[in-house]
Amino acid sequence: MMVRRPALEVIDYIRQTNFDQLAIKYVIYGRKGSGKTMTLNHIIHHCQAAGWLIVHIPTANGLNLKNKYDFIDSVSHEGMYDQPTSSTDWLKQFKLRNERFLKELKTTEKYVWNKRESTEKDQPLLSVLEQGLTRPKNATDVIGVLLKELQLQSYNKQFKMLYAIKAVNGLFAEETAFRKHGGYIIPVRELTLHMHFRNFLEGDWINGSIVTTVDYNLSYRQPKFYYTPFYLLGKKGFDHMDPFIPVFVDEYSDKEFESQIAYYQSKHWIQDEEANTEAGKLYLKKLSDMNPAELDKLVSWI
Amino acid sequence: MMGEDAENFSQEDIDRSISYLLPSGLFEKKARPMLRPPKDYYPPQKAAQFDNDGRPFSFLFYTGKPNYYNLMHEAADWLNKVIQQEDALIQRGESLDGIPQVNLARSEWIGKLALEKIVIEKLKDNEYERFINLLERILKQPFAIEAQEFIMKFRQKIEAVLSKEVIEPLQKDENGRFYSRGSARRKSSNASVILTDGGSGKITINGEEFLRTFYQLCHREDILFPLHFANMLDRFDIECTTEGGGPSGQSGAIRLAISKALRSFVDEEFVEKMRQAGLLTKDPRIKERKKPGQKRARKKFTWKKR
Repeated sequence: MMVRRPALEVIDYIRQTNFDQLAIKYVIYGRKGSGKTMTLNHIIHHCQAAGWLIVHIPTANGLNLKNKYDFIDSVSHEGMYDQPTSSTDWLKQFKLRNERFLKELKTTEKYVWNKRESTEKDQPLLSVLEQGLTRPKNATDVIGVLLKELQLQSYNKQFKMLYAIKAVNGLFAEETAFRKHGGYIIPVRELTLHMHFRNFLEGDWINGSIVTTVDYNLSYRQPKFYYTPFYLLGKKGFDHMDPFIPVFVDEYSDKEFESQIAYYQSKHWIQDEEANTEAGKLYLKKLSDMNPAELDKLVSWI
Repeated sequence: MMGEDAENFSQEDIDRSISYLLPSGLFEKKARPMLRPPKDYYPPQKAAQFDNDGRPFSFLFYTGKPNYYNLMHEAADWLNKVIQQEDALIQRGESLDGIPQVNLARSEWIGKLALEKIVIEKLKDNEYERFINLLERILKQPFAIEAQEFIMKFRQKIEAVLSKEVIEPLQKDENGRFYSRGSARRKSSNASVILTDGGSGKITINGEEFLRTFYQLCHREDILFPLHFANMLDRFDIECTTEGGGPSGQSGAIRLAISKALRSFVDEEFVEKMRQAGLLTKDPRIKERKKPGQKRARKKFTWKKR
């Protein structure tokens, strides 16, 4: 398997980071299909193998579009909206990844969910999470509580934490697919789930790193082929993220292309006899324009 | 027409004057007004066939197709003459070597319609075939050169379109690199291309990246086809400008433009190969017009009984 230069670069930075300081933000950007997500995944894998706590948003842009009937009036924030289904889905994957940490960490204060239910002080965070899974109405608030606890307890240096977001520009977007009865389109700023994630992104915590990508896929912005962080995040998002380290993911270099083709050949993925010759390789190079995703699409049927 | 020289007023001048005096926007050119001698557009008519006594001139009159059978007789005469010459040569004991052959290159037999025009008679398919077979039999004889003049009356030249087109020679830019230009159209798109030799194979379209402009595979295949055909995928730097129409029109136009520019870099033999591969032929298909009383070119309105 090939881990490419941008991923190695970020992993190298993370290894040399002084974790007494606030978390450093990285923004990975690049053209469509150039391997931003794979870069992010390699970084997540590295941190997971090192025993870090992973807070991962699989696609922030998708949160604005998927489950478009999934909104209720917020329990805790007036005039805002909760997303029970999206929140429980996120909590499930969060629990699967980090159950070890959630059993060890304890709550620092008492949380009251409704008249009858509450979570006492010094309970494991897992009980807070279970509250969200059993009562989907509270799920979004549970996420807020979890993130707040993680932020406060990071100063105890019991664990290292990676906050990984794909398509972070989704948190700073304006439009969503959520349409209320009567035609009112709910903007991103009125969604509590996004608010919690945004607040956590401010980076008021230590002993960890924030790695994000910006992605124009699923975004409402036109034209759709500008890929720079400032364009995709907008002025507001850029100020929120600032300061950060931009990491550019380019298309394959010649050497990377060769090794990727060699990988496909070793897996017998390229069956066409002509494609295995030098001339065929050159034709693939020109057709895909050295774009990783495009090459992957091409070799899937030859 | 005013102030023209009446002495030297040619047919061309007449056509020009007619199109000026009676302007017509009709699409079909045959339907536009014209002024020509009647010979040009009335079909030819047979001359008188009987004398004053009421007897036909030709002894072949009662065959029904005298002119055709006359022609067959003439051809058969030529065949006999050619065979006689060969026999005489053999009797004299001389060799058949060194007799020049009829040059049939770049020509083909005339069609049935053209033959009908010559004999002014309706012919059947098998009659036309019999005549052509007879001529071919003459051609097989060693002394066919004697009948060349007669045979060539029934052959027409194949016009080579390519030979008329002038291929521009290579030019040099300020860096000393060879380059050539090409431009073409397809549907409602037009494209112009500059091929620069000694490049890395980079393609830019209107200054943008190749992949971004043509994100569908078929369009990229279309553009790369001439280069792939010539095995020169990584030889040129290609700079394209294109406008109008959609992606498939644009990619088709770029493909033709690249093939045209590529002619300067290859030899004549390969240009012929490219032509046979269909690389140098313009795609003549255009959008079909919308018809009144219909929704689109072919689609009808929903039919309702009442």
